[in-house]
Amino acid sequence: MNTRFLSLLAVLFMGSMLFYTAPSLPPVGDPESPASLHVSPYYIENSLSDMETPNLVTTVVTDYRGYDTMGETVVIMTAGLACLLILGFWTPKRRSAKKTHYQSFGSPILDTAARLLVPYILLFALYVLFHGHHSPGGGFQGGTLLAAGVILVRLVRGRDPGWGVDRDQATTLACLGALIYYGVGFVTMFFGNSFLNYSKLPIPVGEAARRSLGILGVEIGVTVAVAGTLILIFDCLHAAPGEETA
Amino acid sequence: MSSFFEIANYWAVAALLLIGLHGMLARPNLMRKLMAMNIFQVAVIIFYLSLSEKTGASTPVVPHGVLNPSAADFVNPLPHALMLTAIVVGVATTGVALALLVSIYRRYGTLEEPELLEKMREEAAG
Amino acid sequence: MHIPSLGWWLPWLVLAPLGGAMVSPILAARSLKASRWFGALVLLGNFLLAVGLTPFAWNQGPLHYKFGGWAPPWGIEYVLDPVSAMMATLVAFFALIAYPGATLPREDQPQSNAASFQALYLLLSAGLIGIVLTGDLFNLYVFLEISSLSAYALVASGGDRGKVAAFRYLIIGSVAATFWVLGLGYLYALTGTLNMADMATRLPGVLGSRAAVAGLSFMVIGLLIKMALFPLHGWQPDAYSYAPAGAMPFISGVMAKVSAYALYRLLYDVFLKAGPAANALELLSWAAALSILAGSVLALGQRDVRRMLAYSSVAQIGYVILGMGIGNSFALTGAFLHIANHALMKGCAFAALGAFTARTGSSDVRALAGVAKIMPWTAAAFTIAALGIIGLPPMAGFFSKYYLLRGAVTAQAWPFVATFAISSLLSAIYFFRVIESLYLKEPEQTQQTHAVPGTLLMPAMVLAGLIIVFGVFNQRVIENFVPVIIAEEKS
Repeated sequence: MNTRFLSLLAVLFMGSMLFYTAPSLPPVGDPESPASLHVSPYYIENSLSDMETPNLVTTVVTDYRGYDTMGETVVIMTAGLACLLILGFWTPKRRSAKKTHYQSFGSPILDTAARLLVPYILLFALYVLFHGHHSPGGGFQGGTLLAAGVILVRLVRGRDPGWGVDRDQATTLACLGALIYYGVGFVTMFFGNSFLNYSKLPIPVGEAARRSLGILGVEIGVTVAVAGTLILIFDCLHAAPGEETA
Repeated sequence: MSSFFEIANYWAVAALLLIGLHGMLARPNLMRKLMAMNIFQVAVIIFYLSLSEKTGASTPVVPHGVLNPSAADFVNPLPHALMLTAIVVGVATTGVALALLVSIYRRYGTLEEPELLEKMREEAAG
Repeated sequence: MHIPSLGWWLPWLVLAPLGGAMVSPILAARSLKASRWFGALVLLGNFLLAVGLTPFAWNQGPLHYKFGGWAPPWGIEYVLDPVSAMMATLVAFFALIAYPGATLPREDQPQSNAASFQALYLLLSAGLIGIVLTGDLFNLYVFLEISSLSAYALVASGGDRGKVAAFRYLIIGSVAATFWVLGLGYLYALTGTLNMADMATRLPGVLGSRAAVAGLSFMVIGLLIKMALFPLHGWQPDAYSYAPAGAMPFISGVMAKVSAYALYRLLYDVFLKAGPAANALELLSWAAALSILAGSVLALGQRDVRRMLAYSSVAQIGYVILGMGIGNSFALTGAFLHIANHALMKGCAFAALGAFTARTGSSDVRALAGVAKIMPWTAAAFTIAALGIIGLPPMAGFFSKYYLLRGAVTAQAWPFVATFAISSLLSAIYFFRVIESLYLKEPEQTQQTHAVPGTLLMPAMVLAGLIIVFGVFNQRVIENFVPVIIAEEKS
């Protein structure tokens, strides 16, 4: 079965479908398209009053469709666990064995630059997380930046299994982050009837402020989960052959 | 029916989808298949973002001081939110795929599909 | 504290295994045994909840639950109607019954592997139930990916060949999910909403649009890949052959069926069988018939019984889709009954096969020679499952095939009647080869014998028993469990 031929067939079929149907889509930028008129105007007009959050994407992601985002956090955690399962792992008992020899990937220039940059990267990550209400940003972006800072040190210093968090801690962080998100929903489930309905959180502030705080809470959970998983995946991929049992 | 230039985004999306699909089916190297899959996923993300556009509208963040945002002034935030999820799912899938590729390479020493199948066949026979 | 109303209980069907999966790795760091028991308790509770909620879904009309307090279409909702209640109970049951065998500790397995396996198993069940309950099309994608990623990882844990199979499965499966999102984008552009019920009210105005055709086509293609209908089945034989044997009753029993359920929802409840959906149903009938024949023929040539069962699944999911395609009340009842029955039969076959493989070290037909003498009960279970798939009474499989046949006859679709007959004959041939080897052949000199733990044998027995029960009481089953489409038929 010639794969080139099969591929040509599939491309032809899909291509004709795409080119045939694209003109019946509404023009790009049309303010009268059904997508612009039906569900989304509510999000745009009411985000500020419902939850005191000017960033409309954050409100949609974490409040109006917060359950999807919890699913997404679970996907991230699943990926981390999957990498753990696939690439093997030493049993925790062996962890106290001698530290492995680091093969440094960096030079003095990279090392110095990393020392200067990493604190700011981590700080910026926290800024992006907390400022996600007011400017583009939020949990996923902040978590990725946190992981980037840690991974930068890993790249420069070599396979140092301990800077920031080690593999076991990264796994725990991945699950903990998802649990924080889930936990916020759990609390609202017991204090009200709705999972992830932040207005039912038992905090003595106004309803919109409660929603805003709920969004912050789940964003923190997302950050922790994303950072933990990305570090875990990186560590799994770069484990030295002697360190893993596949 | 929209004219050609009104839907220019969609032609680009179509091109990327087809490149991704061809790459996944025709390329024998497993890493290339993975990269083609990424191109395929990115094309869908661009598709959704094109759906959210409104001419004359700005980014979906209400500026400080505006108290009654009107729907026509801001780009549709819903596809952006959906694509956040799609991007993250893509990253997760790529991470798992890379883990699989690393373990396959360590075990069989190759990422070319014909060689891989040959090695597996030899081991099964032997 | 709030007194829980009925709707309060609904999301726990997904939230319980989800939360369990998050807690499980942290618990496993302390004690693997504790986390294994914890997982079992979570799945047991989940199954009981599903059984408990099902009568309410039948008698009080669909249960709704809105997340975050936002009413649909601005928020996401869960819907429990008779169809989703049946699917949720099915998934919860199989998750529970295969769990002890799947999470059996293996000597060569590092502790963290076992911990992540348990968590991924729970995530798989949460993902599948999430697909079944959701009333939002994008939420379906998210949970589809949760279940798919867990499945890729579970398949990959089946050794080196499992990893290659898992990579292929991953690429093809991700493409399928991306097709779903692509198609959904077209539908979103036309209607502006993602909620199933809301879209059903807004689609009739735009059904003539080409974009609706594209949207539906891409979504359907994505689902067909996921359920491994011929010719999009390429990933399944390898994945089923190399996945760990303990998880196979669960994976083979329910994963493809959930995609079939999603197809039903899309065509019947969102599109209301109108416009492009009507054409799609007709095309699907023919594709399903092709899958039935191709799967049966391909199963003939397999010596590895796992691959044979995988190709048999390709044929059997064709039965379900053909029933949905024919569309009259007999065919639909047959389709849903077959979802339940085939889950039982294929799950039982894989469970028994897993026990045989654990005993003899191989799943080749010749390696199973004479195993019936050492494992008579397990061999009987496999035979019951095989007879059910072939379609002999009083096994459950007979009754679902009967309804499907009756539906085809009512619709005067004679090619499909012939398809059913031919495939029953073919499945008799390839199953007979295995049964002959089990009972009549002498074991070869090189046959090994390992001890088989009880937890690996239990699922086969339970499922075999249920096959007979479902067969004998099939009327009761249809009235109370399988959604009787006659009552809620939409024209």
